Formats: sequence, C-alpha cells, structure tokens
Amino acid sequence: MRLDVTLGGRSRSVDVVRTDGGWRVCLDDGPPIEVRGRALDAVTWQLALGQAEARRLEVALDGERAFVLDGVQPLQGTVVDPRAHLLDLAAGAGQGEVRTQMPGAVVRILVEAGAEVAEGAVLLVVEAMKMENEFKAPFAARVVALHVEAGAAVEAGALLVQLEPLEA
Amino acid sequence: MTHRPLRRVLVANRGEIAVRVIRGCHEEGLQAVAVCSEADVDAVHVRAADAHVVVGPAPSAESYLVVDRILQAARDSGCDAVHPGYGFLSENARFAQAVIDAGLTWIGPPPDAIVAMGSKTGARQRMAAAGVPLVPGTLEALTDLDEARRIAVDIGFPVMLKAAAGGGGKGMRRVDDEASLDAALAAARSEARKSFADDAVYVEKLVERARHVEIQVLADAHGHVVHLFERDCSVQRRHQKVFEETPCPVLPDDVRAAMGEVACRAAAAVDYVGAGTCEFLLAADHRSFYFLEMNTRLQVEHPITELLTGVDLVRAQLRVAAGEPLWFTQDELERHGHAVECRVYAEDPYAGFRPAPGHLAGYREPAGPFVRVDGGVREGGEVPVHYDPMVAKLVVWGRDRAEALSRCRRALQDYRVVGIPTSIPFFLALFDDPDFQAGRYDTGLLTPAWLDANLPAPEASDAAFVAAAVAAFEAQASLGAGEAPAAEAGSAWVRAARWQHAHRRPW
Repeated sequence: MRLDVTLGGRSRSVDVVRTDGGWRVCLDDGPPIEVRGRALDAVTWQLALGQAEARRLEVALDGERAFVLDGVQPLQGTVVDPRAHLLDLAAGAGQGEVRTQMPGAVVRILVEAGAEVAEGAVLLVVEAMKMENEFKAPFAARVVALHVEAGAAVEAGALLVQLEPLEA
Repeated sequence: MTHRPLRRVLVANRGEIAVRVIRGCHEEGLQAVAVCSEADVDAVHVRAADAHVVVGPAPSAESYLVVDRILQAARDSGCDAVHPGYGFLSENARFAQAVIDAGLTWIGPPPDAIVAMGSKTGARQRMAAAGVPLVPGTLEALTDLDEARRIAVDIGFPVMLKAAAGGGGKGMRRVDDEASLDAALAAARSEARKSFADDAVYVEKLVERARHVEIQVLADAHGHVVHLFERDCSVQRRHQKVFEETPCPVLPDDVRAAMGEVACRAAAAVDYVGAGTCEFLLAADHRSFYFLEMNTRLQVEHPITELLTGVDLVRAQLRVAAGEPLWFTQDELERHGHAVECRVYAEDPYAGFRPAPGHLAGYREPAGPFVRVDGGVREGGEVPVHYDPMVAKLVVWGRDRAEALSRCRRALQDYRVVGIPTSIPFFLALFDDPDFQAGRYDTGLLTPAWLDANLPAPEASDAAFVAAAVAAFEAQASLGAGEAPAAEAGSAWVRAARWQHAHRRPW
C-alpha cells in the first residue's frame, strides 16, 4: 500500500506491506526497511527499523490528519492514500487564500469585496483564546471575496478571504 | 468576624483550578459542587466533584461568567460558600457582593478590596498614599488620545499601555515612539473592552530588563497579614507567564524582606482578607522594585509557594473564609529548597505559540518523587476552543534550583500528550539555555530571535514517517478486512531506558 505522508512540512511517499514479523517499508522508493514491532496501546507504537534499537512513537490519526510524537517533538501533518483522491479535481487552491490556522471568532473585517489593498494591510481580525490576531495581505491584492462575516465563528483551516494579486 | 463553619462549597470555575480547589475542599472535610458549561459535562473537574450543575452553553460569557446562573447553581445545590478559582468571576466585586448578599460565604477578599485593587489606576493612587513604590506613570485612566500622547512624551518612551481593569497580558502594548502610539492605543482599548468590558487604559514607563517578582500574601479577618515569599515569573511570552520559580534566583535577602514588608503593607491598606499576590517589577540592579498591581485571588502559580513553604493555600483560603485565624506567624514561615512550575499549554511553540486546542488522543502525566501535576484534562478528552488552552501545570520541588530543574526536565520528558502540540519542547529548550541555567534572565528573554535560535522546527525522522504509515496501514487493514492488528513481533524487546531525544544533562 502506498501512502503520501507529510510530517513537519516534509512529504514522502511510503510503501507499506505486511510481513511475517512486521512490515516492509520503502521511503521514496528507497531500499526496503524491515520494520518489527507492535502497538502498545491505541496510540503508542514500539517499532524497530532494520537493525536499530526499538523505539516508541505515538501516532494519532483523525481522517487524513496525522499527529506523531517523536520523543517530545510533536509533528503534525497528513497521511493520504492517493487512490482515495483519484477523482478529485485538480486543486485550484493556493495563492491568494487567506486561511485561519486556529479556530476562533471574527472580530472585525477591515476590507470590502472588490477593494484593493497594499501588501501588509490588515484584512481582518480573528480572536482566539481571547487574543486578537491580525490577518494581513501577503502581497498587494484585490479582495475577490470575503468568506466570513464579523462575529462569525471559524474552524481551523477555514477560508477567510480570497485575494488576487495586483499586477505590478 | 465570627467563626462560620463551611459545609458545601460551589467551585465556580473549570479545568485544573477547579480540580485543585475541589481537592482542597475534600481535604478540609467539605463537599464540593462543580459548575460546568454544556461543553464541559464530561470534564475532569465535574468528575472530581460531589455534584455538578450545568450553567449554560459553551461560551464562558453564557455560562461561567453569568453571575445569576452561578448564584442559582449555589442555591439549588445547597452550597453555603463559593470559591471562584482564578479568572472568570474571581475578581468581580459585584459577584463577590452578590454571593455575600445571598447569605453565602465568599471565599475571597472583601468586595471593597477587590474594587480598590481592581482598577489599576485606583490601586496606584491607594498604593502611592500607603508609601508603596510605583513605576512612573499615570494615576488616572486615559480616554483621550492627546492626553495619552502628552503623558507618554513626558515620562519618555518606551512606555507600556495597560488595560486599567486588565490582567493576563490582555490589553497590554509596548510603545517605542510617538508615531506608533495611536495604533497601539486603539488596539489596547479594543482588547481591553473585549476582555474586561472596560476600555480604560493607562500609561506606565517601561522598566527595561526588569524581572517580574511577586509576593504571596495571606491575611485573616483578625488583622494578621503574612507574606509567603516571592515567585519569579519573568519567563513570559505575549506578557503571559509560562514558567515560574521560587526563590527568585537573583533576589538578595534584604530586598526579599523589604518586598515582603511592602506587600503586607499594600494588603493591609485595603483591609485584605484571604490569599492575594502583589506583583512587582525588579529592576536590573536587583534592588529597586516597583509595585505593579495586586491580584485579589489565588494565582495560577500558587503551587510553587505551597511546595516552598509547606502551606496549602487553598486550605488556608477555606479556613480564613470560615473566620479562623491564621495558624502561623511570619516568623514561623520558612523556605525549603526550590520549586518550579511549567504551564503546559495546548499551543504550538514552533508556530509562535499558536493556540492548538483539540482532541487528546493520548495523555499521560509524569509522576515520581516531588513531582506534582495540577491537571484538568484526560485521555480521550478535549482542550476546548472556548477557554484558556491550559493542559496542566507541572510543579516540581528540589533541594536546590539545579535539582528542581533536572527533576523537572525528567518529568517533561515523561509527559506524553498525543494529538495536539504543547509547550513541552519549549521548556526543554529553555532549560538548555545557559543564561537561564545561570538564573540570568528577565521578562525580555523570549524574543522571536531566541525562539528561532533555540526552538528550530522539528524535522521528521524516518521512524516518524514509518510510524505514521504503519499506523495508517493497520487502521485501514483492520477497517477493511476485519483483520486483527499485527501480532507481537520479535522476541526480546530492548526496553528503551530513555526516549531518543532525552539527553541527560550534567546538572
């Protein structure tokens, strides 16, 4: 089974097959690694890669979102089965999307749809944990659409504003 | 004041402090009733209590902060006293008075003392009259921009803008020059209005390279006021404390004594009763100190004082509220060893301490000698988005600072929080900083540059990628085919004595 794993901002493709004593894993089509081990509980895995000493790592999966605790280091990312996304349309996402990384409430909106804003201009303010966080334009842009209203509650990852870059 | 025994206490709070207070009640032989929002019905503090009352929906403004609902909960559950914890209604004089008017015992200072200390400008006036040293600044709240500008120019930049009704770093802004005053004032007032429903702010000279040192005081209703020494709370991010220790590593004994005496005088000046804290700025000479404010409640960081002095502050609050005199004098209080506290927050230290509430897929607290965890979460539970993102306070005692820090480091390495990032890696980086190890730090320690240099973003190891993929593979396999998970493989597992990243330090 081939999985696309992103952790700590780095993506690798990981092939996993089960073997007699564990799994055989290839990272980015590299040489196979014999992995032995077991789950100690719902989140704790005791794993030995090749000849290395066994280590414990904690893994929490929530849909495609993944969280790995390696020692004391938290690593956040995704584990995606690419077969599940064969029918997805080509992503049109990316540049110009202003999203919140944390859930909160929209306190103020300082721009209107259609407005032109300078780089660094504050677009809106989202309050999370009683702290106000300003969202600024990453480049000079036109506001294509506002996806939230003042007072609205927003989930982590929510699209707040769609920008399009202004011609230089 | 007559003796007025308590029987059943409503704990008007949530999370770790509610659990802490419930424990104190039980140790005093009292029953404890929890309140909770609809989001908290499965929370740890509810389970710790003898009974609970649901007081409203998740937002605290509709539940934990609604005076009438909390009072109704106290009456309905047959309580004869209310403990407010910290935050929420703890420093709300109107609430304190309402509790008293309802014929219940208020486990906190008299409402007049809350009012006197609650407005920072009012408190400054009172303290100036009592001869308590103050940071240069305004004695009046500012609403007029021109006046703010004139005063700031007068005392000289940099200045601090602070919410008159504030606390916890909210509504607080550093201003370095006149040009940025307008924007800073607007932001400070907006935050102040939101957090405290009062947009009055005041201006204070910024004491550079200062340490934040505070004195715990305890007063009874019979005129006795004692202090329980200091706590150094200089390790802050966004003006919020994240690590505290006692003793302060740089405080000379004579300054400690002077600061303690001033704190007792400040408390006496407002006829204080109960546990309170006087916050001071200690200047870079480690001798000059200035009164900042008095927090008229139990502090988050009270446990380190408990470990240092052996005095249980919650039980002291309960006894004093019942009218009992303090059972010790100033001379009988002694300091033993060193105590530290790490505030473990659900936040990502690699992303500017961004709050990271969420589901706790795995959760295991450290234990061992002289290790105390004041927690309010559990495995399978949530750190809800609606409240402060605190997971727990890790509090550790040692014979001296080095022993306390090495023990705390071990406890941090044993702490497992799975599903959300926490500030645990930050504390380990802090403990690695040679200046911190030497006790050389001030409130300016945690700059963005410090964080960049000491907390590089973690890189995922091969093992991390393999673990994530194997876990996902097995989850899918057991879902799809109903297969049993991989059986125990291999024979003799070398039990890792320590985690991979757990380097032992010579201290």
